[in-house]
Formats: sequence, C-alpha cells, structure tokens
Amino acid sequence: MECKKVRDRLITDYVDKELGTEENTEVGRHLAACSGCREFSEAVQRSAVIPFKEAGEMQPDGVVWQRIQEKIETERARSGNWFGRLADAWVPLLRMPPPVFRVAFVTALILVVVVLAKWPSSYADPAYGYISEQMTFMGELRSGNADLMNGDLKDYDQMFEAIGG
Amino acid sequence: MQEIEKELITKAGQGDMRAFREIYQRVSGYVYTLAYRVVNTKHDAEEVTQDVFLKIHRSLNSFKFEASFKTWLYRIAVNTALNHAKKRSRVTRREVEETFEDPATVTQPDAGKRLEAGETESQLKILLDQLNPDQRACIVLREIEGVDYQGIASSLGININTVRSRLKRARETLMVLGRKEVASHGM
Ligand SMILES: [Zn+2]
Repeated sequence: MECKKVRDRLITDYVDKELGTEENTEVGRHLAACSGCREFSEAVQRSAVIPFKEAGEMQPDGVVWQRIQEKIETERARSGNWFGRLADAWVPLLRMPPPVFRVAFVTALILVVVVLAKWPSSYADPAYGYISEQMTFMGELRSGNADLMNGDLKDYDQMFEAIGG
Repeated sequence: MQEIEKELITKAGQGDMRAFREIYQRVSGYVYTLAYRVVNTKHDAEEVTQDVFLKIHRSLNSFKFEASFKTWLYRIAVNTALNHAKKRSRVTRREVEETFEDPATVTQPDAGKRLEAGETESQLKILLDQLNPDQRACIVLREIEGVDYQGIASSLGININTVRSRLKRARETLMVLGRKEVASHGM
C-alpha cells in the first residue's frame, strides 16, 4: 500500500477500528516498515485523539432546571384551556409545505376578491370584518414570519413564539 | 451515563414530575456536556439542554424501549445542539461569549485536580473551536461518546462516507493546530 493510502486509513478507519482484519494487518505491516507513516500515526494520536480522552463531565447551572420546569407548566396550562387547544389546531396548517400553503392562500385571495367585487355595497357586512381579519392573519404569517414556511422550525414552542402565542 | 430504569421512564411519561426531575438529575450532566462540546459556549449549551429536556418531556410517553434510553438521548441531544450551532453560526459568529467558562463547574472527584481539569477544558475548547459544527458533532460522537461510524451516520442522518470525510477533515485541522503548538513551544 502507498503511504498516501495508508495515511488516509491512519487518520480515519485505522484509528477508529473500522478496518477489516486483512486491511488492518496490511496497514500494521506498512507502519512497521515506514517511519514517516509511524510519525504521522503518532501525530494523529497526539493532536486528534488523546486530547479528547481526558474530557470530563460538566453540570448545568441550577437555573436550567427552573426554566425547564416553568416551560412545562406553561405548556400544561396551554393544553388545559380551550384557547391553547385552538392555537394547537393552527399548527398543522403551519406545517404545510410552502407551495401548498401558497396555493391555498392565493385561492382564498381570489375567492375574497370575487365575493367583494360582486358585493360592492356590503362593506358593512359582519362577514367583511371577519374575512379581512383572516386576510391580515394570513398576510402576517406570510410576510413577517417567513421562517415558519421554510420547514426550519419543528418545535411547537418556536412556532408559538413566532406567531406571538 | 448509567441507564435509566424502565419504571422511572414510564412514570415520567405519565406526567410524574418527580420522576422527570430524577431523570433530569441523572442525565443532565451528560446532555449538557454533549451539547457544550458541539455548541462550545455555556449560554448555548444551556439553551440546548433546556430544549432537549422539553423534547424528552413531550415524547417520553411514546418512548418504545426498543433502543436504549442513552442512544435515544444522545441522538436528540446531538441533533438539537447541531441545529442550534448551525442557526447560531448563520446569525452571528461569536458575539455571545468570548471567555472560557469557569473550570470549577467541571466535575472532578479530586478537588486538587481542578486546575488541571480547567486546563483540559480550555484546551478542548480551543481544539473544538477550530472545527465547524458538523465536524464537531462527528468528533464528539466518535471520540467522547465512542460511537462507531454506522452509529454516527444513523444518528445524524448522513452516510458513512460523509462521517469518514468529516472526521478526516476535523483531524487534519487538529493536526495542523498541533504542529503550530509544537513549533510555538520550541519543541
Ligand atoms: Zn508510509
């Protein structure tokens, strides 16, 4: 085996014990005969393996548990009342992939425009208030919270923060 | 980290807060340390630890006992930490913390060894700082958790060749740093 190929193994599969027996023996034989590769192997150990062997365990500050406890209590309170459950019902909508959401939005927009065009004198209608409220909500979701649409946010919590819940 | 008994997991999954706290006390050091190695700042490691335990709390009742609790835990922890680190490096580089954390928070049975432990921590932090989050996650799983290539690949949802090339890049970087250190100490 050439030195280059040996060193590729030395820095990965050999040091991580992922080589098959045959190849392992071959690398070992090369090491016994080649001082350059032996030095390389020692350098791998010294700089990239041994420093991690002495890694200790750290403990988080007490405040971390307090925050966790508070969040859990908030989540429990949310799932215990009707408003929380209503908010939960929105989440599947937010999980939709962007194209689906966009199509749904555009369809809703066209529908509303058509309805309003056919109903010019009905601006005082209670339905108009409701529809415009929904429009604002959808618009906010689209503009201010682009993050919600890119599939990056998977947490309920992050979503609620993003929609101000 | 010791394994957690089935009974305790079941209890916590049913909403028993005392049982959940017991689990937290037993594994939070493990989660926090793993997170810290990947995100490399105290503040971010705390946020990740919090997120991990909230995720665990939400999904404990659906834990199937097919995989070991430890495997389940480090998978959640490493992925949460990795996502956090990537998001962080997208937003700002290095504005939260520049200083090293208090070495006294490192658990060491012998108090006399604290200074040494502090040095080891600072050294580790310098080394891990040279790597990108993807490389750090691979190195941490491999070197500190002792996970094999297949385990790393399935934990991170990447293929084995990617694991291999990330470890290779990471170690090459660490070796360059090692050479510089040797040179600067005149050895
Ligand atoms: Zn050679």
